[in-house]
Amino acid sequence: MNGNPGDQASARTPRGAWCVAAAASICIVVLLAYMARQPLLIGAAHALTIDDAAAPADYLVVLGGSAEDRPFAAAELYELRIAPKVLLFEYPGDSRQRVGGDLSQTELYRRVLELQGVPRIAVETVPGVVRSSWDEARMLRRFLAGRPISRVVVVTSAEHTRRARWTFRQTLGDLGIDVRTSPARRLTFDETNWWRHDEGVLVYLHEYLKLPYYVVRYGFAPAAG
Amino acid sequence: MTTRPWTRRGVIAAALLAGAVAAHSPLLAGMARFMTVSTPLERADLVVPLYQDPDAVPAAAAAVLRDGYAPRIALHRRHPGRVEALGLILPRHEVWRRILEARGVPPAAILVVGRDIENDADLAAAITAALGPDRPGRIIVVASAPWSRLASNSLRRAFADTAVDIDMHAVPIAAFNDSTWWKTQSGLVTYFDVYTLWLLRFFR
Repeated sequence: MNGNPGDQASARTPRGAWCVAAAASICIVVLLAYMARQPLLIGAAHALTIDDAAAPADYLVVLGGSAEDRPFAAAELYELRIAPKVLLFEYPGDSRQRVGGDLSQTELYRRVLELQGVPRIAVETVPGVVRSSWDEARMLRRFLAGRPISRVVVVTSAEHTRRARWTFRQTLGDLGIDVRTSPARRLTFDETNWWRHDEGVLVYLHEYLKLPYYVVRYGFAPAAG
Repeated sequence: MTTRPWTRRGVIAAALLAGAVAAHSPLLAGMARFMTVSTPLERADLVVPLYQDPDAVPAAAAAVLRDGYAPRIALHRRHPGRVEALGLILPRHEVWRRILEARGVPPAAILVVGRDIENDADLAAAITAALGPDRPGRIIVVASAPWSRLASNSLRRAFADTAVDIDMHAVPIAAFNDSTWWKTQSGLVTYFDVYTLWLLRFFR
């Protein structure tokens, strides 16, 4: 019991000083982070990008979701002879298809690849409709099981490469398949300026949320499940 | 006997947490309502649907036209992406023209404005040019409810130096509503995105 007011005052002084020191430290850290924001933001983006594609691979596996960049990047890798075959996936239809405005995403990817010089015979579709990166990895596992495959290169948007590599290694690892990734660069932003674009902010934030979510949700899931 | 400060703080924190849990539905519904901007509609020169929800927004734009609030719907030509430039997909305004016509909008009531539009400033310039420079005008912007505040803020800035007034017509999304958005993945993602951009634009 602190009965003496003088004792209470002397007890408050060090705690008050501690609070001021803590507030000052936080301010300094925030100020330093603000001053160094550009290298920090660039570093945060680079931490998600993995570019380790290497020949010879058996397949280029193009993930869905961005026809503006992924099939174009796959066509460039095909031209560089990284792999002799390109794999696509099947996706659920959307309302634009219902009014006949567009091709399906798979057909769109296929046509882009063709126009970029990839022969139709070099493009295959993995059977089964997919809705997520995990689905794509599972369908690919089914497709590749029993085939003499040693390496695949997964082609996806730069910010998605780390999660994609983790997902595909998680799923294909026990088949002895070496999974590599190659980032498809966007036209509007990259690792050096993503925070200046609304879309860039959203895709990087999403990725930083999805990466731990995938590790927690699928980290212990059976690969064949 | 006096209560220890940390005990008191713990009780207050627990009470606040319990209150937040008990009142989470109205709080979250309020967050959604905050992002919805809808104004009373008046007779206008053009209905301007934003290319958001391709089911609800064109249907609402067609209904506004049918109800006689405006004589025409203005679609805008966006800057084409790589796939569109290859001729593999239709331009967005052509897709939306088909959707509107399928909803009963006469072709003559659809106006296509601008070229290579990339942002709201370009859109404002195209709409202003279509209405006639320096001519007072009124447009009804049809937007998806969760995105309507962002659209309203941005378009009001873009039209600030013009004589064009804006009415906002916010359209609910079919997949979720103000009272259920946190129970669906698309609702969570949508409001995460909307609030992120709202904060971002606030600090920019």
